[in-house]
Amino acid sequence: MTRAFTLRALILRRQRLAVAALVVAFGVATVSGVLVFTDTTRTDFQKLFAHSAGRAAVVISGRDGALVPGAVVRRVRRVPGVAVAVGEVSQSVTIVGPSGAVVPAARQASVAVSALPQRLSDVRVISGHQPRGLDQVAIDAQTARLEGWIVGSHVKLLTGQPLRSFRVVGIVTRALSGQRLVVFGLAAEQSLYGLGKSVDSILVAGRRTAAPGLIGRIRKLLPASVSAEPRASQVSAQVSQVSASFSSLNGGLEAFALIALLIGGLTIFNTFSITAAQRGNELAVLRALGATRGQIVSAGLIEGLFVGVAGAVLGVVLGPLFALTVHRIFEGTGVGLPAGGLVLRPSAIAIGLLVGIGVALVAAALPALRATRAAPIEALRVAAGERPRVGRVRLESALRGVLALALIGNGLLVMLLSSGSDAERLRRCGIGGALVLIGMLVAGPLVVSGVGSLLAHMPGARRRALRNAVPSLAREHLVLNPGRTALSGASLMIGVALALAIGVYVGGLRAASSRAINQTVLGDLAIEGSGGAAVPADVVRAATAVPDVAAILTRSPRCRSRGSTRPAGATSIALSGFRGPAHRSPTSSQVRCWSSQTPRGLTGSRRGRTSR
Amino acid sequence: MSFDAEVADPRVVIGEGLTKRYGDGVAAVDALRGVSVSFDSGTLTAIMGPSGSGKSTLMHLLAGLDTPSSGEVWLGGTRLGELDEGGRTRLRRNRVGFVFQQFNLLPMLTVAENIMLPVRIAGREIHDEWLDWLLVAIGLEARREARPAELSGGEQQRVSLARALISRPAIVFADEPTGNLDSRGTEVILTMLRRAVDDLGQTIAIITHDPLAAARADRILYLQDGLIVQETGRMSPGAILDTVKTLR
Repeated sequence: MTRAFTLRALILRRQRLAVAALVVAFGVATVSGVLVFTDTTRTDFQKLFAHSAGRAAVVISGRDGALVPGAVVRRVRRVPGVAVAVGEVSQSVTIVGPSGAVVPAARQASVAVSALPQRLSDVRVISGHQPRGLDQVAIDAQTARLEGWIVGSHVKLLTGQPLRSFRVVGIVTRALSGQRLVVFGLAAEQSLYGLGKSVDSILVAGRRTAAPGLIGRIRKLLPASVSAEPRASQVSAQVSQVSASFSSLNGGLEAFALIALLIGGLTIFNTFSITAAQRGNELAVLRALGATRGQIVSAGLIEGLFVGVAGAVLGVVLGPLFALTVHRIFEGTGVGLPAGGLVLRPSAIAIGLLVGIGVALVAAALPALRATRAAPIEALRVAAGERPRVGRVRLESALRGVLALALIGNGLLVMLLSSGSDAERLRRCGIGGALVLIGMLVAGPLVVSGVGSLLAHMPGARRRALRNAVPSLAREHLVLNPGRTALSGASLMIGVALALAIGVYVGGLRAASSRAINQTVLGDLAIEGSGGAAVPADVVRAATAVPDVAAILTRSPRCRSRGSTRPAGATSIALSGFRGPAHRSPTSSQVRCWSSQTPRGLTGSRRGRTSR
Repeated sequence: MSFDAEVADPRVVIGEGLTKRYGDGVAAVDALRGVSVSFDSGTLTAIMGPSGSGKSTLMHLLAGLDTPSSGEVWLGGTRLGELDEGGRTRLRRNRVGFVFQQFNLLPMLTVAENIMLPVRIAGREIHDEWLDWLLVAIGLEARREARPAELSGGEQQRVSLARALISRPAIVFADEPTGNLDSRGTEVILTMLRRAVDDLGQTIAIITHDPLAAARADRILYLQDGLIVQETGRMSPGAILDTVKTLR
């Protein structure tokens, strides 16, 4: 009977069902969305690096970002078993639209690459042909569509040279990284960026029969500054390197998933306990009419199951949309994420479903259990009108206060006194935060009661209450069930905290990247292209000529390009007029590569405050 | 329903030396201070008394909704003190019917479903003829598929009465059954309560403030400060009012 009754109750209370299911759906969507996003990001990075070396068997590149001399290409070609060996150059470029404005970078700085034979490249020619000669370029399809360029159009580009016009002879697919792409002929790009005959890397494809031992034969020929790696190992090295640098991103996302889970659970629980309170009357009548606790609880469970399944399924469907939104948010902040389809792993779906249904079941069962714990007469009395409890309230409040203080205190200690590696500190922060949160949840009802009596004892409160009953009624309602009020408040609090956390986190990512520049670029003033665009070489020359500039440092996407005597295009320039205060010495490999080339006055000290 | 035990003893419900104390220490309140009472099969008893006199508490104890601080309740031959919460629940759903002041029908169920609810909770067979008879008796056979919200207060209370009678309980407790009704609704429900006693041999106890309701009863108990202070046979509304006045 309870089953039929519950079903009818559910069907006829569509609104209640819908609200509870939507709440479940929200929680599940957040959880599974974050999981989908994490999976997607991870997979995209792997794909990105797997493709970035094209289809070469061996990649030869300079150690510590040094250039590979052109002679090496010729030597490698003569190695037995080598079918194709092609030098590749990849530099940053600024694309100027027909209106004269810089075309904003997509995801990462726009890149100029040298044309590669089809078998080594993941860039495909859609129309036209590969560029030949100094004034021809191919451009990626999305950028071409955006600016209305077709084969035969002229585009203005800032390369290592002042702004000049090139003829579009081909439209190509965009690389998986999603950057805007300009393709030059190898010789053209070498001369535009002042590289001589040097290249950034050499891509080698072997004859099928000669694959084993090929890399060994190649290595014997290479100068000390150049290394050869099988593509596979290079890819895995890159993936692990990037995974490490993005571990904080993933950690953050996992933290979001946990917080989402917590909010979802609390909201679901709260919704159910409110509906249980509203149903108090019905439950009391059922109890009086002889429904056992088991029947009431199983009715609650069936309801929870319905709401949980409906909400969780909806949530799992909405989850990927949530993931897309998060992706957009991160893109919008300029954090470069690779493009690619969403990755839906069964685990993300299963976890979402389990969480939704599990939380809904627990959330439905607890209030039902609580409703049946009271004798039916209590329930009838509550149904007739809720009464504040008396008796053990004072003892309970005292215990609650002590417990809350202990939890919050310990949580803060754990958070503030954490030391060790970043991951360890992050983990401890999470644990401490959870303790503080639980402590606040425990303290909630006390705070509500406290605020309630504070409001009641405010000067003039009684006089005002006589004139206008509404505020005091509102106050009464607030403290009628402090636990429920506190729980509603807590969901709201966590929601606001989450919104804030996302803001802080995204802001933090942005700040971290600019801090990275601050720590590595040690001048008083930095000049950067907007939206990741390159700074043209003539700007660098002009900056050098400014009277008060003592030293100048250019930073390119690849350090090796600074090896040339002529300053090439850079993504930023640091200018220094004085010696900044000594500070933490930079440690990343990128920074080392900077320092080796950095003029005196800019090394070993952090960029100081900008003097005006 | 079996009459084996009750034929020898006409008393279907017996309460002996019932006391009920809420809270403890200085805050303790004695709602009942030693009440002994019994209800004979096929009679209508009215329990009267001012607010706080212990009427509702007495009903809750007799119906097994609450346990006495001391004293014993026998319901249809079963001693309630022997039963745990689950046992009392099962006894209640088989042997006790309730009519509430607020009707307390479930809004999502139809009239017929509301009436059948106690039997369905108990998981017993529903006899359609009995349901149909009750629907005719309360005059709502045409509205069996209606929902409570579509009914007037008086009609809802009639549904509630049929729900109390469906499991042929040993006793029906009606707590202020006319408290939320207009005079016409009151008249109809009182007539039906009376007919349930006369035609079906149902035992009924009504708790009421209303002398008009009490005047339908075979016996009237007056409670004050947790004690039965007077017991009378059938009386006119005027005489009841006078009795109430002398007690106050």
